[in-house]
Amino acid sequence: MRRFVFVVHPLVPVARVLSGAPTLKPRLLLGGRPRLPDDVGIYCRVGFGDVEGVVAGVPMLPHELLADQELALRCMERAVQEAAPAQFVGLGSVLAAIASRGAALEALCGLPVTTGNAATAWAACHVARRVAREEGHRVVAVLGARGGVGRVVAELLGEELEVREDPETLEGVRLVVGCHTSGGVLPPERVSAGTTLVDVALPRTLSGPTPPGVRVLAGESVRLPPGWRRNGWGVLFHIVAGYGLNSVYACLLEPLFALATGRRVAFAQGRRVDVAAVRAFGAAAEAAGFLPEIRRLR
Amino acid sequence: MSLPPGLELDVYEKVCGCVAGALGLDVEEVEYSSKLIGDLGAESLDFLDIAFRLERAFDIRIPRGGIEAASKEGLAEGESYEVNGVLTRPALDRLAAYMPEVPPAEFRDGLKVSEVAQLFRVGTFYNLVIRLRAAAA
Repeated sequence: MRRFVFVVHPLVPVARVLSGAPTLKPRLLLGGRPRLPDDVGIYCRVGFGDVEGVVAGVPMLPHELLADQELALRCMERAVQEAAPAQFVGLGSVLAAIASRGAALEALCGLPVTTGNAATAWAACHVARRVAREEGHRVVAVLGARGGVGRVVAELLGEELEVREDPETLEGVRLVVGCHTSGGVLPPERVSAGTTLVDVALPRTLSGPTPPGVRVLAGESVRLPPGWRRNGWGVLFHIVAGYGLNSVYACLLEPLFALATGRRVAFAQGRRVDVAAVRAFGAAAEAAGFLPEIRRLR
Repeated sequence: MSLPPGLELDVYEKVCGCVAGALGLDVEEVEYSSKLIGDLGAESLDFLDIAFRLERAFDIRIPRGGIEAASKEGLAEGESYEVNGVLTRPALDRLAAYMPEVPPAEFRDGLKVSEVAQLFRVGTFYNLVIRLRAAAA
């Protein structure tokens, strides 16, 4: 059985507790201040085909990760050790943005580390293309087109649609893909009713409440096919930290398909995301029955 | 390429190496006066990577939002840093003093807080490292 570890972090303090439960880490379980880098936890186990994965948790909140990348890196290394043995590492959320975006962890632990950005780009393109077809859009605005995900999303969508990269105005544009790496870049008053925003930015693209008549879709939610395995904690993890019982963030699938397709290098790492890697990931995921879904964000 | 007098060459070369590494450039492409965003193609996550590499290279901690905090510290009581996202004249003057590597004309009236990062030069990070090392000494 080939195995990957997917390292995540909580968005709110209470989510630390969940990572302490399966491995009975008392400080995490009791909601105490974690001792770092030792107090990493295991959220759950998942699997598909002949690949299994361990979801490990670094108990640092987003602002803590950004404030001390070196400590975050040591926690990630500890999480990989906790989940050993594994042959591939995936990173979730802010962990994919810090410490040289996977490169420092790869150098430290000697395993290929993939950021999830190829999977995210694939899912965002998939959702945007579907919306364009269903709603008859010919033009799409890509926000954050200078970033790794935004650049490749713009390139791929440009094969079918007229792409406007980071336009000054959204006048006349009713399909927007938000890929900006810092989020909160789009004031709601700039978005007209009837617009669909496919959002993969974290924090989210809109800097305020969703205006009336605007539809915001998750750009990276993937429906799980039959055959997806998880333990009891996995059910809880999917509900609390994902899009519900039968969906996952696309990035979780990136190390899985790296192993399933026999890759020895990451699909995405550092600042670049290659079109070829996005296509390779997408082909493997779709062949296995994983498809991005239209999921409205509240 | 002209370098400011008194520049610590070993520090400067390490800073250039960190910037080049984060942006996937050859170190020869990185100059003291290069604008990170405008000339070298950096985006917001690249700043995080540059900070990480500098912290490791120099064994320092770079506080997030440090430039803004340093500029605010110099403001007199009652002076605002920004109004509706636009920097005030006292804030612009403070920033200009804090970032001597940026031509003074670029601290124009109407500059937004969100636009400050576009002023950052390679020299901004060099000076930041020099200050943090001096503070730690």
